[in-house]
Amino acid sequence: MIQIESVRICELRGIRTLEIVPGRKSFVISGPNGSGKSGVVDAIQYALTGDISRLSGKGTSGLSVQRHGPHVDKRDDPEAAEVSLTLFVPETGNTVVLTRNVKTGKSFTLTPDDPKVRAVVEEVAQHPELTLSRREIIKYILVEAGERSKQIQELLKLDDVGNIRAILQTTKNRISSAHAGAQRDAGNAEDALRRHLDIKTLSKQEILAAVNPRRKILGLPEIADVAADTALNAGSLEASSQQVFNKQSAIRDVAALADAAPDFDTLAKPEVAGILKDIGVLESDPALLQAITHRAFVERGLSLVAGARCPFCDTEWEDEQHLREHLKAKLAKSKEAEALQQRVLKNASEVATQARRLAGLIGPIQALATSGGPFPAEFGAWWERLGTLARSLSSVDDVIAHKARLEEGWIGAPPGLPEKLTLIRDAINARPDQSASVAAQTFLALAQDRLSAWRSAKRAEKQAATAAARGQEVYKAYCDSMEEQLVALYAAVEGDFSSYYRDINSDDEGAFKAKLAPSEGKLDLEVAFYDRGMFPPAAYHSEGHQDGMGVCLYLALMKRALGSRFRFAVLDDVVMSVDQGHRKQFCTLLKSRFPDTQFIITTHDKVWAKQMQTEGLVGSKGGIAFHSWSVQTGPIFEQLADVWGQIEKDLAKDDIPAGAARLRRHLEYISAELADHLGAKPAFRGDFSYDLGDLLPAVIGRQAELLKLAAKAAQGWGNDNAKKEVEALKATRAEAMAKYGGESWVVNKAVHYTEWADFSKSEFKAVVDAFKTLLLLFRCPKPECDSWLYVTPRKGEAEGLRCRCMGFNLNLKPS
Amino acid sequence: MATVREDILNAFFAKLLKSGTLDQAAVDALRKLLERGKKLKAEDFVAALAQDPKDGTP
Repeated sequence: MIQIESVRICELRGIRTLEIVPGRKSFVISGPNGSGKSGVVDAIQYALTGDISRLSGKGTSGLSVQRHGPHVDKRDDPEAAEVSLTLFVPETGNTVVLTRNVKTGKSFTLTPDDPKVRAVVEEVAQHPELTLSRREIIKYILVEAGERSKQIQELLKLDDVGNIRAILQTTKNRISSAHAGAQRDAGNAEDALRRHLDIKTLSKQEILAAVNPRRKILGLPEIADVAADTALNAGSLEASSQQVFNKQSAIRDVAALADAAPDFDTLAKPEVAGILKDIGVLESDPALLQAITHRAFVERGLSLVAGARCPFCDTEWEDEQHLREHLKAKLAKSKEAEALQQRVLKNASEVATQARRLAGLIGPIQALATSGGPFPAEFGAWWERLGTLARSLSSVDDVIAHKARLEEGWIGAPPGLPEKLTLIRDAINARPDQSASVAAQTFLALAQDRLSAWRSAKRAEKQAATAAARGQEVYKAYCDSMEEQLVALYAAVEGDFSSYYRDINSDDEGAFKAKLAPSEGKLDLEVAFYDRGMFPPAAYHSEGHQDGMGVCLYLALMKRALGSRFRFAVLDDVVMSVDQGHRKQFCTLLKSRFPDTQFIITTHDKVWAKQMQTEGLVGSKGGIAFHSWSVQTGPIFEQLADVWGQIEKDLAKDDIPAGAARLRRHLEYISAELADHLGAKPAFRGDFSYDLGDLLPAVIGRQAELLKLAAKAAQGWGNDNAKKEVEALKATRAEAMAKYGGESWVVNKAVHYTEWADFSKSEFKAVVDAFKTLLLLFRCPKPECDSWLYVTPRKGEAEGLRCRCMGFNLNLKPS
Repeated sequence: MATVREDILNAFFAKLLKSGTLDQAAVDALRKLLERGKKLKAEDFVAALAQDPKDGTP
């Protein structure tokens, strides 16, 4: 997995240029609605996946990243739209820069490139759920059980798990089918052996009863037992079946074929009719056949679509959505084709089985014919054709290739077969009777030949049976493992989900529990409601609580889906579902349960963003606050980073207007922050539109009040140390205020900051120094803390003035 | 912590070895197929399971 060091965005969505530096730590982006927060989320998602979910999915018809990803003023210049992420990859310890440009959005560059890192980034792209938006929370909670199951299976990548099950099922079926074929082949070989021996069953007794009298004629010792390596003709002259003719056996072979002939008209007739019907369907709808052969190709193509251009043929479509819909329609077509394909192959398998059985009956006859009997070519060709047919019905294309044969009669028996068989039988009968010794010798030779064929077929059958048993075992073991693990998984998710929710709502729902019940394609969810029983989440819980459940279930699922590799997530406005009374607990939940996970969080509630800093979920510089947005400039923001260092750089470049704008923005931001922190009271405005001139004097005045309160409290409690500390602070304040006041002729122009832009470098530097010194009064002096001071409690009489690390902690409460 | 897929596969291989229907070599062959990361094909599994444990020929 990855963690983000920094993000650089150029001309993407609502952003012109922006750089943020989360530094592998959690980071909050705050700002009112429409200030550009989601643009950052879109940029991160785009860089990682090549997609922007806001421009795809339901309700986004006609939208595409290629056309609507770039800033509106760069819509004809997709190359200008680019995102670079500096990523840390914990698995490899590498830091790389990933860059994705909208013009070539399907690919990305890595600097330095490394196959292992590339594999990690590509894996991240398979986890779009790493970005969770508020509208997506409910998809785990307020949905039908079937849809919940689908969404959760998607998040947990259970489609892959299900895919393995499907492959193992296909494997089991194929092996089982091969076993059935081997059984039929062994049956055919057994029939041929029994027919030759003229016995009813292949018992040792019956075999020996047929064989030993012939051996006796030849003066050979009797065989006492038929073992695996017994040769029925042991001691006799060697002869191959092609050369051997045994009159009585040949008559029985001819009779067997003659007996089978009357059933030829009905043999596999329903299966052939089914095949011809399906071939008719395929011929009337060529796209169906194409869908069978192109399924894998289309699936791959769909995964590669990134824009309106076809990834294979470069055809430009109206937009990406049209191209996707076209490919999805093709896939839907291929599902219909898949069902037809399975039907055709099942019917063809029965035809092949019967063809093999018939070839088994014809084989001895054609051997007779080629050894001097009548109709040699005709029977030989028939035997060949059936053998070929039996071997070539394994694909839909092969079956279609045999369409004419299936229409005309797949058996293809020679015309006048009964008469010809009679002629053959007569020809056999016309041969002179074999001497007893020749008859015995040929009988034994053929018996051994067919016994060998039967043994070979039985061995193949046994091997196929072993494979079939393995296939069954493998499939069962997988299904059992899958069920056990999924039951355990859902129990674990259920436990984590309940526990997280209790963490947040311990004050009023400390006994909360949930029940996830998987069933065929569904996942039911019920939750406890104040000891009154288990109910669907929407039954009695408020919408805020339902949203909270969504976040908790998401976190529980991500923990199970990625385990210790859950190192990064984007929570886009998700935290708004947490009401004010439970924010502290929510921060604690993320910090304590996911200490190694970097959360990029957006919120339109500035106070909430600040609370994340106060609670230590994000660092003092781990955020950016957007004030507003304009189409020309993108987000207008104050980064919680080293503004003084940035102003120094502006001064070094003699760029006074840039430094002036930066200082003004910072003062606007920080005076609002401090007014909130300290409980300053500017003159009330009905539209809540306070400017710097309203806020800064109120903040400075409030600080003086607080120091007076601290001095009074120290005096009252007789706390000498506190008295000394307050005195020192007052002295520092007096010094800063002298500087502030001394420069007031320029500082007062803060209300009209544009005038600063016309200052000389030294004049402006004096302004910067004055404010810098002034603002130091409002923050913790410890560099490792450096947080802004705040009054506690937020409401009511002030009791303390503190920083986050408590290194600065003045008592304000009188004795 | 292992992923769901890894958990299922670990339980699966353990179950197969315990059942004794498949020997270590056959289980290893399945493991190799499932862990190679390429698109899974039923014919590869058919070949692996049809492997004769005695003479090593299909």
